[in-house]
Amino acid sequence: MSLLQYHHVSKRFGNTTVLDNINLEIPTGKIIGLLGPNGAGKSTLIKLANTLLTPTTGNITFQNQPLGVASKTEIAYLPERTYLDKTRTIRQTLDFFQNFYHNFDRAKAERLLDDLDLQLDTQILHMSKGMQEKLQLILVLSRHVKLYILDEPLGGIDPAARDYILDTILTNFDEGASVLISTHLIADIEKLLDEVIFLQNGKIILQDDADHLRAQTQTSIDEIFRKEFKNAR
Amino acid sequence: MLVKLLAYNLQRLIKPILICAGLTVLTALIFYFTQYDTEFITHDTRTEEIIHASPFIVFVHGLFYNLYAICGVVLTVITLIRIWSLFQKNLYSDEAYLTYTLPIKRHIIWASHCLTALIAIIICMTTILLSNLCFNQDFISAPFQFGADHEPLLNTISYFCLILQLSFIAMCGFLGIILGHRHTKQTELFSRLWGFIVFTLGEALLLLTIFLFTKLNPAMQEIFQQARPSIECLQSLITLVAIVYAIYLLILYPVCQKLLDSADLN
Repeated sequence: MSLLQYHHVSKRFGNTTVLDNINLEIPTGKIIGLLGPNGAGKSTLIKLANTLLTPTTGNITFQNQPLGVASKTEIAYLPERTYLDKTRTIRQTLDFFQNFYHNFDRAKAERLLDDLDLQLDTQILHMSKGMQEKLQLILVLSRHVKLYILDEPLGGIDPAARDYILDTILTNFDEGASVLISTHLIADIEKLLDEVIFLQNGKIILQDDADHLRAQTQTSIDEIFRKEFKNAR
Repeated sequence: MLVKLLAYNLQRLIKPILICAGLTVLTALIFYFTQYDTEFITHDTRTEEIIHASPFIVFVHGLFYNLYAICGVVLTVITLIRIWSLFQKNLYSDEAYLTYTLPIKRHIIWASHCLTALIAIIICMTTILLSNLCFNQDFISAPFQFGADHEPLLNTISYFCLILQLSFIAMCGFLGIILGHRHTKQTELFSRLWGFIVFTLGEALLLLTIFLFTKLNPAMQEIFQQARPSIECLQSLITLVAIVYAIYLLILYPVCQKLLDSADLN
């Protein structure tokens, strides 16, 4: 059964076509890598699923229903930028999430924050960008949802912290839920992936099971991507 | 959800407005008490003797009159700027990634910003109105007779008209921000430009409405012909202005909502 479906979705900004007739299904219980070079349309594809953008043509459904309050309740989205109100403390931010998301697990968030030695009364403004991104990841993963969408969770994170991020993702998403991770840093996340989607110039150029793809080509996803990307050029 | 959003918006918006409101009331009160002292010292009615007021009190009195005027203007400007800046930050900056992904319909988010703006404007105008009481020396004995002319109805209509006018200005800003962000470049410049254009058009249409209304209603022409038009005439005029602003708001609210519903966050 699929969670999220894109039906003939195109997105244009003026004369530029960013996504071109995308048909895609995100299945349940899988970790899916949305892979592609910068400007391939990964973020646009994700923003469409989170109603931040509206499709120029086509439509998107979540569990066969149009996107709306129900889909927003069941999708936890980590954008590529920091969206928190920096004037608030961590505690106030937790209050905010608890207030607006009934599926937010505060105890889990506090436990994860404790692991990072973050004090609840710390103002977000006084945290480094890396720490703010970690806090945001904790907030997203502390929700019990059916789909986690992580847009470039490793972008701007130093290599030492990448392991923490990947480990947090692997050990904290809800069992039975799906995770859609967008990145161009394929080598770092390759080991997590069940499925891969290669996106280039607004088109899906490959979608397959990660293990099947590795067995078929006898090489890593990273290598396959480099090859596909080179050929597509 | 609307109440929760409203509470969060007000929490973020209200602090500087309350500080300014407090300063406005304080300066008005100091003005009032120094005015009382000045009058007492300069003219003793029992002895018909003119006594010169202390230069210090005269200075403080004049200073706080000007400070009160400045505080009133600053309070109004800060209220509007805070309303627009919260709207822009909440719906068009990085924070919008959180706002738009909350499990709330967009029209609720829009309604929460309009209600936040309305509450802030009511706080602002009520502060100015209450402070204005200090300009009436009898305000302790007759507190609800606003202003020098002691026309409660006229002043009450003016109060609501000012709230509607400020709400219209706030709405022009919202529409400007929404239209400005439909441009891919120089969004801030276009936001201000669109806001100014909508406001100017609205005011021009209001003037035209007043002109036509006075043409059709000869009794209203004294507004242009007499230096001190009658209270009835002023009441009719201000009521007309309030109705026009109310109509503007009724038109602009769904227009902004529709534009916001289809807005893309780039």
